[in-house]
Amino acid sequence: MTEYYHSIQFIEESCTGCMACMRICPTSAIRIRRGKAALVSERCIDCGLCLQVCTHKAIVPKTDAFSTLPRFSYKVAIPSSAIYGHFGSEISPICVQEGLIQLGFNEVFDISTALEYYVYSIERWLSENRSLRPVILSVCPTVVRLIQVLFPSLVEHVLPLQPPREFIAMLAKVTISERLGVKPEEISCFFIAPCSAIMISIKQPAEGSRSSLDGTIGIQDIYNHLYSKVFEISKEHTLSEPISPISGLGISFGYVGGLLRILAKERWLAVAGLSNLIRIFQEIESGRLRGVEFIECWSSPLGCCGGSLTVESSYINRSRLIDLSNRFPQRLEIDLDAAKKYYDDKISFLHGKLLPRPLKPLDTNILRAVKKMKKRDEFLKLLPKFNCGLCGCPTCSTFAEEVASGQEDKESCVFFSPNRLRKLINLYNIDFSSLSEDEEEEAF
Amino acid sequence: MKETILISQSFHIEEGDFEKAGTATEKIREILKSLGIKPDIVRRVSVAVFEAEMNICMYAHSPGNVLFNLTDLKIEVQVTDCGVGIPDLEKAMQKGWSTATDEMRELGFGAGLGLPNMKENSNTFRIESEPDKGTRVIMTFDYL
Ligand SMILES: Nc1ncnc2c1ncn2[C@@H]1O[C@H](COP(=O)(O)OP(=O)(O)OP(=O)(O)O)[C@@H](O)[C@H]1O
Ligand code: SF4
Ligand code: SF4
Ligand SMILES: [Mg+2]
Repeated sequence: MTEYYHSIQFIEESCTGCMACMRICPTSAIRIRRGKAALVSERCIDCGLCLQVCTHKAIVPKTDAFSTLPRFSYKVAIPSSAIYGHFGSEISPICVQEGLIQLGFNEVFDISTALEYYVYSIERWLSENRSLRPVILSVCPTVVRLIQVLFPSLVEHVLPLQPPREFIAMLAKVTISERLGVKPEEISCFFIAPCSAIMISIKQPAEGSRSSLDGTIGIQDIYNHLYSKVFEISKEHTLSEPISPISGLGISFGYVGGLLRILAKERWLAVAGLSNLIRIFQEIESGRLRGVEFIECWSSPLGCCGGSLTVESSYINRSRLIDLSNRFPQRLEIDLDAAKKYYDDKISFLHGKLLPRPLKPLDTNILRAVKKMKKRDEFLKLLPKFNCGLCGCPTCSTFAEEVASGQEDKESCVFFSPNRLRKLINLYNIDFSSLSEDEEEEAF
Repeated sequence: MKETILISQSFHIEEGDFEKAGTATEKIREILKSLGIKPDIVRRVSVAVFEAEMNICMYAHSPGNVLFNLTDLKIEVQVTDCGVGIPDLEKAMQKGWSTATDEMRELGFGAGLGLPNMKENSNTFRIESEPDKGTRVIMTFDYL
């Protein structure tokens, strides 16, 4: 079985077993075992919700630390548009690009240029492949994994193009290596990322190919260093030209519906937030969503501007991005012959095929699977369905499924076995003996 | 060899309740996914059952029922209502033929594609209907 790489890491010593992460996980990928959170790797889609909800610093993102940057010889920063809304509406993205240079990056490449090639390719893909609708935007790695894991029949709907961040990294390497006469491998491209999920799309691309990016640095991690620089720059200089071209379209890519707003497309939808995505994917699976051509999908409720590694409030970030996007040319001009060539030569495409990654069935043999399903349903009827989580599973129904498939023991349910409760009291060191009698009365 | 039924479940469909329409499809899909049925087959069953559910909800003027059977050989779905029936089945089976109201069209239905879609997505398809008695659609899907 494939080992899945994940963008999050659990720190056992810090984990209190409070279940916050287990309860929020949209794919039931977390269990509490012996009082500590544990990941069920094949279920995790790297949405980062657990990361955001843990107040004990027991879940950390596996981004590259900003402090490791000096180790690389030639460094290119590729900022997510989500960073531009972090510095007040009077501070231009131009200053942010300059700030990144001052922090030690040799160059900055904005995604705006790549987005123009991207839009060209989307339009051609839509016009040349009319049978499968709607087509689903595949820029958000969590969306892609959500489809692979929970909606495997929809993988064909996923737009098979390289996301703009990958495309610009590839362009950056080609451009710089030609200009400086160095090998592309000597250039390292870092995405300044709004969420931890980007990391997996680099380490283990869903389509099984190789990424042009070399690492990610979380906005969270770079923000403090960048903040003062950007403010100084904005006071001292009146910069008029960006280091790397910026468009309204590029900035708008940082919030949900931005693409739609700038391109003014009919029959395109923008959907964000995991529960909304799950609902819309269910509708597509039933063939219920008719007349929709394209769906822009983001796992965070407001798009990248609210990613798990952003610092600014997602609402403020979005409104700034909208403001800023109006101050730049909406679109950039690109060489259409080049765009055509990138498309025809398949350079614009993902370099591998996206495959479904469905969850393990109850059993690979249909007769045994049916037996287990009946066992699961009967056992579930007996359970109280409080979803108390004390068995270590997020819901009674997950527990019933695991008991039926033999992964869990019935005895793990406190209602089934009072012994389990005693064990938990010991495990969590719960001791009411110091409570005096009057207090006890008050307490009840 | 005799065909054995492994799972048999039946689901009720309300008339005119657009909000709830699709719940039988949802449950059948969950069962098929848990059993590890191939994604492509799950999709075809979902599309076909959903169209049938929707038709009852919109046109039958009576509640209906979805009977889902999984045998060791195939998936069988019977969707039945005791409603107004379809006067001309030949017409109803044509792509584009529909008696949907403007309101239904507003909701994205009424393209006259439901019955043809059921036929295309299933391995065998049968429809019986009698005015004022009701309609029954029987579809099977090979899953092995
Ligand atoms: N269960 C039913 N009871 C009564 N009439 C039905 C029933 N199912 C279908 N019909 C009739 O057959 C017509 C064609 O059905 P079909 O599902 O092919 O298209 P539609 O429902 O009109 O449009 P679409 O399915 O594309 O939304 C319907 O417009 C309706 O008049
Ligand atoms: S949220 Fe999860 S990881 Fe954090 S302390 Fe609670 S159980 Fe442990
Ligand atoms: S990253 Fe998301 S899917 Fe993965 S364990 Fe955390 S909450 Fe669950
Ligand atoms: Mg119909």
